[in-house]
Parts: sequence; C-alpha cells; structure tokens
Amino acid sequence: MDPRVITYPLAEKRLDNGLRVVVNPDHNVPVVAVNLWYDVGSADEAPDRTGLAHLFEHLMFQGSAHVRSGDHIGLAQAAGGSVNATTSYDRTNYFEAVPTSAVRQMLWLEADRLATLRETVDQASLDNQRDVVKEEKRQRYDNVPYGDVWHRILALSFPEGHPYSHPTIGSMEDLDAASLTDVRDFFAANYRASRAVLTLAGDLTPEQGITLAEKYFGHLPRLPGRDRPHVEPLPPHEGVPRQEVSAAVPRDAVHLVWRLPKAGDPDLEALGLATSVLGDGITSRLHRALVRTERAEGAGAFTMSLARGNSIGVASARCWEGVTPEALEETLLETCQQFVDEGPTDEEHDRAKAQFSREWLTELSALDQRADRFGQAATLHGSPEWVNQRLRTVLDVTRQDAHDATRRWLDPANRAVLVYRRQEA
Amino acid sequence: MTSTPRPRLGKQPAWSFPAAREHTLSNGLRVWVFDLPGQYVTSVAMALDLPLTAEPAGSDGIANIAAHALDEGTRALPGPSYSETLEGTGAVIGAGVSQLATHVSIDVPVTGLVEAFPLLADAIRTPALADEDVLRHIGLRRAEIQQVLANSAQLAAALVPAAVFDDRWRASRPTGGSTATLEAFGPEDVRAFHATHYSPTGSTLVVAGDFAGLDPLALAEAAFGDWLDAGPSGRHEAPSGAAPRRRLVSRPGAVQADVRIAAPAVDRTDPRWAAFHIACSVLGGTFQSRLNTELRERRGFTYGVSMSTTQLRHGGYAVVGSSFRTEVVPEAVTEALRLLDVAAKPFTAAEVRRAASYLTRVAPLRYATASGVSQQAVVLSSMGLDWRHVDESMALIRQVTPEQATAAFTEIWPEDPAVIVVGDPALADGLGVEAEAAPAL
Repeated sequence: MDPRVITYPLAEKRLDNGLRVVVNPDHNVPVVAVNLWYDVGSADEAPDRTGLAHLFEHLMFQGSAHVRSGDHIGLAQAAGGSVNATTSYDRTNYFEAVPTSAVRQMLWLEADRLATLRETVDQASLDNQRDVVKEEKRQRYDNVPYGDVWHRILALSFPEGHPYSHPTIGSMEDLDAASLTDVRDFFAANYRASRAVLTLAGDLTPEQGITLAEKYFGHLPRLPGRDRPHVEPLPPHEGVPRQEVSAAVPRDAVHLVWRLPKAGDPDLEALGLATSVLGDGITSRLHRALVRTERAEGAGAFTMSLARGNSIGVASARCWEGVTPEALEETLLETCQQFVDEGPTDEEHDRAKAQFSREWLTELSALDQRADRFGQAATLHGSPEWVNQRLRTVLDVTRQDAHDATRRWLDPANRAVLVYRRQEA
Repeated sequence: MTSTPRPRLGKQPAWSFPAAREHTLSNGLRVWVFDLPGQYVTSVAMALDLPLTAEPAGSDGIANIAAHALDEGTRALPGPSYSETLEGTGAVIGAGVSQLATHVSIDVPVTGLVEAFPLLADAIRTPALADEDVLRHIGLRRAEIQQVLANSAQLAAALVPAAVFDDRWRASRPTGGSTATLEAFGPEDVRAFHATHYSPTGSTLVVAGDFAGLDPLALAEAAFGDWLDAGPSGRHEAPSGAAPRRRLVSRPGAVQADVRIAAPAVDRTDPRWAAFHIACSVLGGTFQSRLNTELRERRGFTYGVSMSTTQLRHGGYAVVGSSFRTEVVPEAVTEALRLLDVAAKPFTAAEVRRAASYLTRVAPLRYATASGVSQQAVVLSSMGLDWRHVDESMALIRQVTPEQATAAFTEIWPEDPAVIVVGDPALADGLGVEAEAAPAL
C-alpha cells in the first residue's frame, strides 16, 4: 500500500446561512469528532485589545441561553467525551470528540452558544475568566524559563501593529482593560455561521452529518462573511536584527529566525522538509554539529505556518554547560550556511519525506486531529480535499525544490537573532 | 434563538477493548497482537520487566541512560547509521523508564513495518552503547536536571516521590537518577546493565495496527525468537509511605507558586482501587470536579487544578497539582485541603454517576488509535496485568456506590498529606513553614 493513496471520504455542504459543513464518515470506532473552526484569531484583535480572541474563547464555556456555566464541558465529559478549544493567530477552534450517543447534544451546545452568547455573557463571567486567563499567562509564559521566547520571536519578525506582532495570550494591561462591550462587539463582528467550518468525522454517514448540521445550525441567521484581510508580505530580514535578553534561564540559548512565505505557498512545504533535515531528530544536521559534539544540550529547526503575509522559520540551540553563546552561534550559523550551500542530500531528503509521512498519517489516525485538519483545510486552503492531497504534494517535492526554497528563504544573511543569556542568581 | 430543546444522549454504543491475539515465543517472550482496521501507522512496543530495584546500589539512573542510548547505534549499524536506517523506514523510536519497567517502542507506517521490526529488535538486543554516546547521555541527563531545577512545575513534580515514599525505597528517588548517582557509573557499567537485564522473561511485545495482510507474529518470531534469556530482573518493591510534611522551596520573585498535595495510594489490584479512582475523579479528574469548580471557576485562583493517580506494581500515589498566583497561595492550599476532606462532605450519587460515566464512556476515544492501544497494553503488562483489565476495571467502576467511594478515599487518603510549594519565600508565614533552598537533584 502506498501511503500517498490513503484518502478519506468527504462530503461537503454550505448551509443557506453560510456555515460550511464537512463530513468524513469513518466507522472503525463508535466515536464522532465535532470540530468548529472559526475564522478569527489574535491577528484580528485591535492593537490595544491583545488577548481578546483568547479571552473570548474562555467565555464561550461560561454558559449560553440554555446552558449553565461549566455545563458545556461537564456534559461532554459525562458523555465520555474530550472537549476543549484553542486560539491561535488565524483561527479559534472548538472541539468535542464523543461517543456516537452524544453527537446531537454536542451540536446543540455549539449552536446554542453561537446563537445566544452575545446576550448572555455577563460581567461576573468576564471577571472570573479574566483571572483564569491571567493565571494561564503566568503558568505557561511568565513563570517558565524561556516562556517569552515565542513572543520575542514574533516581535523580532514583525513590526509593531502587524497582526502577528503580539502574542495570542495578550498583555496583562489589555486583559485588564477588556470590557463587556469589547467582548460583545468582538462576538458580533466575528462569530457567525458564515465565518465557521463545522466538521464531523467518525461513525456517521454523510447524510446523517449534514442533516444534523441543518437541524442544529440551520436556523442561525445569514450574516455576511469576509475575505481574510490582505497583509502585504514582508521582505526577508536585512542587516541581522538582533535582540539579547538576560533572564532566569538555566542555559544560554541562541535562536536564528527567518521570515518565510505564508501558508499555501509551495515553498513552505519544501521548507518543512528542509528544516526537518536541518533540525529534526538525532540524524539532523544541527544535532550532529551541536549535540553530538557537546556544544549544545538541544538543537532544532522548524517552520511555523501563518496565513497572512509571512510564516516564520526558526533554528535554535541551547548551550552545553561551559559553551559560550558566541561559540554556539558561530557553529549554528556555519551549519545553516553549509546547508544553504549544499542543500539536503538525496538520502536526507528521502528520510525527511518518510518521517513526514508517518507524522501526517499519525495525525490523521486520530479522529479529533483529522477533523481539525479538515477545518483548517476548508478555512485556509479553500477545500477540505487539501487533507487528502497534502501527502502527495509533499512527497512530490524534489530535492532540488527543497534546496531552492532553502536558498531563497533560509539564507543566514537574512536571519534575525535572539540570544538568551543566563542571569546569575 | 435555539429552536430545539437539549437532546438527550442516544444509546451508548457497545464497545470493548480490542481483543489481542496472544502468543508466547519459545524464549518466553509474550506477544500481543491487536488488529485495528484503518490504523495505518502501526505501533510496536516492548515492555521490559525491569523495575528500577535492578539498578546497582548507588547507580540510580543507569536504566534511564541505557534506554536513552539504545538508538545511538547497534553492533550491526554503528553510530548514526542506525538512526538513519530506522528513520528511512518512516519509523520513530522512543524509550522510557518508569519505576516498573523500561518501554521501547516504534511507530511506523505499515509500509515500513517489515524493515523497521528487526531494527527495533537490534536496538533492544544488541545496542552498541558506545563510550562517547553513553557519556553524552549522562551529560544530557545532568543538563535535564538543571532544566528541572529551573522550572517551577517540573521541580514541584520531581519532589513528589520523596514526599510520599520512605527513602529506603527506590520509588522515593528520581527515575533518571540524581547528579550524584550519575557520577557512580560509566559506559562499561551501562553495557553490563543492559546485558544482564534486557531479557524476554516477563517482558511483553505489543503490536497494534492495520497490518494489511502482513503477519506480525511471524515478524515478532523472526526478530525476537532467538533472543536469549538473561534471567530475572529486580524484584518489584512495595514501598511504605514517608512521614508527611510541608515544604516551601524558594523561588524568589516567582509570580506563581506550583503546589502539589500528595499521599501514598493503592495499585490496581487493591479491592478499593475502582472506588478510589472514582473518588479522585470527582475531586479533580474532570472540569467540573470539586477542586476545579471551586478554585478555578468560582475563585479564579488558577488556570486549572487536577488530581491524578500513579500506580506501581504494589502501591502507588495520588497527587493534586496546580499553580496559583503568589498572593492567593495560602488561601488556595487551605481551600484545597478542605475540599479533600471527604468525610466532611461525602460523595453524592450524582457525582459518582458522572465520574463513572466519564471514566467508562471515554474509553472508545482513548483507545481509538494504534498507539493508544499499545501504550495502555504495555502499561498494564508492566503492572503484571493484561489487556483484559481495561474491560474488567470498567465493569468495576460502573458498580461503585457513593458510600464505597467515600469510604475508599477516607481510608486511603491521609488527614495530613504532604504539601509541596515551589514559590516565593515570602509565602513562608502564610504556609507556616520555613522556606528552603532548592534541593540538589
């Protein structure tokens, strides 16, 4: 069996109110993954209301016209489901994976909050979840060594005011300033059927899936959708922008950062393979040059796919005890430069494809992750069929494509640099 | 407005844990094969019956180093050529060490299974464990300890075993060893440890996935059939509890404190296990648990609080874990301890019903993938149980009454559990303890 011929059956329908419905029948286990991708993320926030998209996501669990606070998760869990939501730069996703017995209830819960949250959200919920989100910020970012690394990488990569220049979690000041009016306005502007993709993946037929979507979401009003705001791509970095931070971290660390093309650009898949050769796993160039030689405790490279203007590429390493960040940066740069000059070998390129195949198929083997990928595909790539095509697309990337993309986008001359220096206690 | 009333739940679909085809190779290695249609990424996992009591005295961490250096080259494929060959099949290899066992596994698309299967066997049976690779892994473990010391949540978690078990027992000490014990052994010792303790006796090989016409048993026989028995490993200990205490580990200026409240508990063979498991779920296993509802949803003290259990072959422990902004830590700890006083507020029928419903109905989802099935199977085999335990324990969980859950929890959970706080030293007064410097790990 050639893994590139694995395709998942799909049915698709757009309801009259604009909701896109995707159904992927899979009868292997009696479970259905329900996934709503809303086309709104932190990139849609006003500059003085950072964190609002994510704070709003929390409020979606605080009850709606027919659901008490906490019951959304409570009902899903009591039914044997997993349930959560996440907010990113370009989207907010809400998802439940449940036994077939609970699908209707999950759709009803999702529809109730989409229909009524604007009227029901109140100050007490906002105040409580503002505190919870601030604790989340402390737990995940402020109280963790290197916790602000991604925030700094964004700030290095994008000018102030750019939709990606601020982190999704937002700032404490903006979280404090968020009012009930902001929340209601955010809902009114962004949450509507025409800005969402509903995916059902699992043990149901396409007809059942579409009928259920009509039944629970069909009555929602038809409101205009939108074209995602165009953001002009930024050119590669010039002049090596550099930031050095002194922080309570266990070891000095160095990050090289590049601006890459946005999601959907064919170069980005080639760069995914290239960064895997450069920095994924113990056969990678960076591991050999830095970890095997005991210059770094850890080293890696990856791409972060973003939808507006540019994505980001990063190569990182953390100093081995006694190694200076200057020495580490030099070897990191040499390794990247050599990779740009040579490109991957045939063997490296084939290994990267084999590893990508397994990672991609592993993701799709779980219904909840597969459903999420369909939502992503429909929202950002035009069609859920992108999921069925992606493996073929990546396996068709030639060694030459990967080398060309590497030369175009990962030239060390076009890097930005972030250095963490260990603050002595 | 929503036009329909809230739908009732439909009929719960029938489900049971996938049945394994069971086989024992001539050398005693147990093999479980799970056929899972549609799971194109197969999972092959070895659970070595290798409790950490097998480590030589003073050489804590040697099992962990051995496991992590397995893929750094084998006798047939030295150095990076091993991982290059393995990765070329699409496989990823992982190794992990717990108090009970060493687990080594690969996930690989079924198209690469025939090639990858013997490579897994190579890593387990004939790793090179070359000097430079072993020494590097010892260095990496030292570095990892520094990372743990710098990370509030990881440090709090690392302090739990010593807080629940008396220091006579291996289970009270870090699975990966400490900076001091890493000095006690070198490459030669690691190779000897491997030669003595990696053995088919008591070990289980789990293979799960959609095999598309391949015969996994034949692959297992070819890869492991002539693996010679090296004799039994260490004994599984039954650790006794430590004297409970409170400690505040100082992290000056921290904006949050990580808190763990912990106590010894029971293993899965204890007759009270199902009732205790339900109790922990009601207290901290779900979003609407008593702890999360009060400390997150009512008071906004935390992003989340949970209670989890860890089972050993004999005994185990339970832990409440969370982090709170510094100002509210004393109040949060007091409140958490109050919520853990189940005698004062016994479990209700509705709470027990909801917890049982969650714990049993979530199974089809949890075990829907090849790696989900194989991971659960190796964990159970390491506890001396088999895969049938999943269905058996669900049947037990469904029968637990509120009275049983209350009785099990109040019997097992002490009135004075250990409390570990990693946070600002100014919390000392509020918590009634002296702040101490971070311990050497």
